[in-house]
Amino acid sequence: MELLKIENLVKHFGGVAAVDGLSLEVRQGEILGLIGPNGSGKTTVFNLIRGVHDPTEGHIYLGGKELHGKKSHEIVKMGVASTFQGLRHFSKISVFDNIMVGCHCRTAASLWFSFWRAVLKTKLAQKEQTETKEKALKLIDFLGLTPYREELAENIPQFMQRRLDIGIALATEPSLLLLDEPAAGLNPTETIELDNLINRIRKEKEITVLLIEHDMKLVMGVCERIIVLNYGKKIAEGTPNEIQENQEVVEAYLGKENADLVTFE
Amino acid sequence: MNNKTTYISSIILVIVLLILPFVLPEYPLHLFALCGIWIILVLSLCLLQGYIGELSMGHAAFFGIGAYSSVFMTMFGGFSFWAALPLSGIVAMIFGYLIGLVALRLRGPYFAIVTLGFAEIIRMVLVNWKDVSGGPDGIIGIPPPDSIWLPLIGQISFAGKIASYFLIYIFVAVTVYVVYRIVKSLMGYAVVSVREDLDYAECVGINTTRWKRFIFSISAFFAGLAGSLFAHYVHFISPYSFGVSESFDLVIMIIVGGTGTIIGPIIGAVLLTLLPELLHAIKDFRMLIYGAILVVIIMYAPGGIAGLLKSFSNRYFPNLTTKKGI
Repeated sequence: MELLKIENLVKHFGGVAAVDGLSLEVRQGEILGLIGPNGSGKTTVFNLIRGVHDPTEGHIYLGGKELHGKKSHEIVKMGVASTFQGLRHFSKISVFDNIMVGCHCRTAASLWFSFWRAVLKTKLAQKEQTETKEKALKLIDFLGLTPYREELAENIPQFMQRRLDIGIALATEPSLLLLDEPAAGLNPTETIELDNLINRIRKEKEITVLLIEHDMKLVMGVCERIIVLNYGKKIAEGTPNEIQENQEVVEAYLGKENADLVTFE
Repeated sequence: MNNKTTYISSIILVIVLLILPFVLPEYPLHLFALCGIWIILVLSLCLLQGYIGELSMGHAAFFGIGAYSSVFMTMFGGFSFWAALPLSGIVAMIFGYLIGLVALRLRGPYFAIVTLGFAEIIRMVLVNWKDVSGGPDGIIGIPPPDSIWLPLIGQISFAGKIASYFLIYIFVAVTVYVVYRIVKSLMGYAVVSVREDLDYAECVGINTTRWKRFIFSISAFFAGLAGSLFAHYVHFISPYSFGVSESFDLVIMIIVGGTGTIIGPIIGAVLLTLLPELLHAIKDFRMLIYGAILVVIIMYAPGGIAGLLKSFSNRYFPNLTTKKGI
């Protein structure tokens, strides 16, 4: 069963077609890799899904519901969470507070209602606050960030910051998690830990993962299916083994003349 | 500071505030009452600037709207002061909401400029619409709040300074409490996230536009409330009490006291209301000294006085302090 379905998606920036007639589907419970050379439109696809850009043409459905025209924060509430390239979190507040911000979109919906509850300090509001804090602490434990809980986010090691980014996304309780180059800048040991973390997210939290990554070792290891983009078009789709043997993919990455030299690890 | 020290120091503060009116002569007491009004104002601006991260450069406009609407309601509308007080806050809030609809689409300096322009429009209207606002002469003879009867205390008349002082400080307490609750409840996380990174906050499910509009409305409400208290306390209002310089005074109070805290702006408000009185002897150089103080604080203590106090207590009483982001 498909969780996310993209139909004939097109995005133009001026005269450039960043995404050009892309169709794909993400199945419930899988880890799907999205790879391609630089500039092939991977991040643009992510930005279209999370509502940062509006598509020029085409449709995106999450569990049958159209995402087009929805604002970013509404899409998060519908169950799509994402991380960004590089590091993106609230760097001047603590790790715990960062996770709490992520949790916020699952708390009382109406603003005035939560205002009066907060001011009058009702039992229900106190209970919700305690529960949210417990949830955040549990998530921090899941991510292995407990020793850094009270530190400012900008002061913790880079890999921990990367985990924090994923943690904020998880705190919004998504059904689909978009990871944009989570292994960039990590050393091999850290990449293995990240591999574990992604697997645990799928298994323990039952979240479907869509992954953009240049680290082929990670992609081939963790993904069940891979989709390859080039110039905004899908050029291949299949299991890691099929992709490694696909001549067109190899050519896209290395150019025609070098294609016979390649071996994927 | 941890909970216990905060608790003890706030109890001491309340006792001092309770004793003050009975030991102070009339004029200093009057100054402290004015301090209270400025504290309400500066906290309302601090909620906007320090927590959601949008600076209003025309906050005195909401102060003025509150004052004038309260005066219209009591003197010409036949309302009791006790009805006009919350209503004038609501009038200011409606203005805030409407301005927010337009201005909060803009960010940073652009929002500040729109609020500055709005304040100037309000001032010009008050100056020129002579039939209604009394023009530059203002409105005189505003009655004090209607006297009320309370159990145990009896009839309270607000013609005197002491009762007015208590009335104002009750609303200071209400303002501090509401701001504190907003910041410390779950709402605080959403509010601070908007200040820290607006685009990213949107991508973790915070409806940033709605939050900004909401906080701006609350902020305008308390500014309006302060306006109503002010008008019925000094018994005279004119457009010159709600001009650009008042708006800038508020910004200066926040910078001097320390933004993003509750105690900081309060310190700033008290200091900048009392300082001019202490500097009476060198009156002509007052603004010069203000300027110098501001430059020194921005250069050497960007966290303001609250920031200085915090680093001081971190250094000398490390066991009293906890690391906490918000």
